[in-house]
Amino acid sequence: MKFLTGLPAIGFIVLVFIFGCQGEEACLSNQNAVQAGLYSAWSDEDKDSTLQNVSLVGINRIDSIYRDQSLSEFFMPLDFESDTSTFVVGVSATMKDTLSIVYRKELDFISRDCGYIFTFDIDTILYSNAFIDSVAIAYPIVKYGESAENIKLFIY
Amino acid sequence: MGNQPKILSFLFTSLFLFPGFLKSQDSEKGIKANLEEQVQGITLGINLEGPVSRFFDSDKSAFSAVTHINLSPGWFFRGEAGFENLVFSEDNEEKRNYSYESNGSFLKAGMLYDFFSVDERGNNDNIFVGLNYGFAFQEHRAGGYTIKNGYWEDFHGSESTYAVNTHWLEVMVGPRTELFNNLYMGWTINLRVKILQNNSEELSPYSVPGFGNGDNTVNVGFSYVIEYMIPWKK
Repeated sequence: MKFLTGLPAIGFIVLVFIFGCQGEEACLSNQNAVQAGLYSAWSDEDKDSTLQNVSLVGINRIDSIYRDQSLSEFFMPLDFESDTSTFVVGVSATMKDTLSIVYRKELDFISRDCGYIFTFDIDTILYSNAFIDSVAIAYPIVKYGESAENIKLFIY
Repeated sequence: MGNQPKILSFLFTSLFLFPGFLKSQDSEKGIKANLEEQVQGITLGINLEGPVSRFFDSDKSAFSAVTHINLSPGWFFRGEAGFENLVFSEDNEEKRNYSYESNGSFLKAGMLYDFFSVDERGNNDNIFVGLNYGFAFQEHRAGGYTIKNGYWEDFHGSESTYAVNTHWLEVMVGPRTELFNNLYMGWTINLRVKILQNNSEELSPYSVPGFGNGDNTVNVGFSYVIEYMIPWKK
């Protein structure tokens, strides 16, 4: 009686087990948005501020990203087809500012399950001054899997 | 007292897994004689890993041929050559937002040591442990991909065909048994470690032929080989 004669069946079970255990990666969505935090322009230190009735819409777009919401931070998705994304942010029908984000983008292959994505490097922010006092770039990279505040909006 | 069943269980398991533990001097001589009488020859066989993996991933077609050459008592050369083609199905394209095609082939070569010792004339079974070097060459492309935006327009692009080379080392362990005269069946569990890959920045291979998941640096694989031996020395 040979010691190893019964092993083909065990081998087949291991084979099925190994192939059966290969899972798929969960892919993240909305990884192309600039994260903006709101701060009071009157404080010497960075102090979170909340705005009421905030509306945010991309220029030449009909759909709003936010509509009449109370926010202390918000997300602005960047346009893949352009190197500048412009948004209108408002707190009332008459109090509105325009915010233009100028950036460089690079195509990246993330993984076999999640495919391609763009990584952005924020270069400049242009803005009007209805209620925005100033803007600072805190972390210029918008990258898949990272969650960091990219810009600080100092408001009156 | 309470540990006795555990000790007996351990001894029984040890005897089963490592039958060489309790060898007499006579059995040592018998094992040595059996090793020296071991049939030397070259085997030709197929690895069923590729065909079986098709049941789990119908996008992939793979096949490989394997050879073992008994160089000296206890030492074997192992060689393997094969190919792998992969085309995403429509379901996979939709799920991953890109289409993908890859055609490639691979070579593996290495040495195996047989540490199975048994005092039984004519027993040609083995338990191998070994190290292989693997190399794969493949051409792949993403015929089209979409990056979803969620607010602005989605982006559509494509990546043209280009070649990728991958090198890896593979540690393998597993048994082989002689089912019938000169017909062998064996399986191994393989730990594969990628050591070098060029040209994968723009598009990482979904699967590297002979290596597996292209995203991973370390893969666990398996081989299930049926082979026939052509003896040259008895």
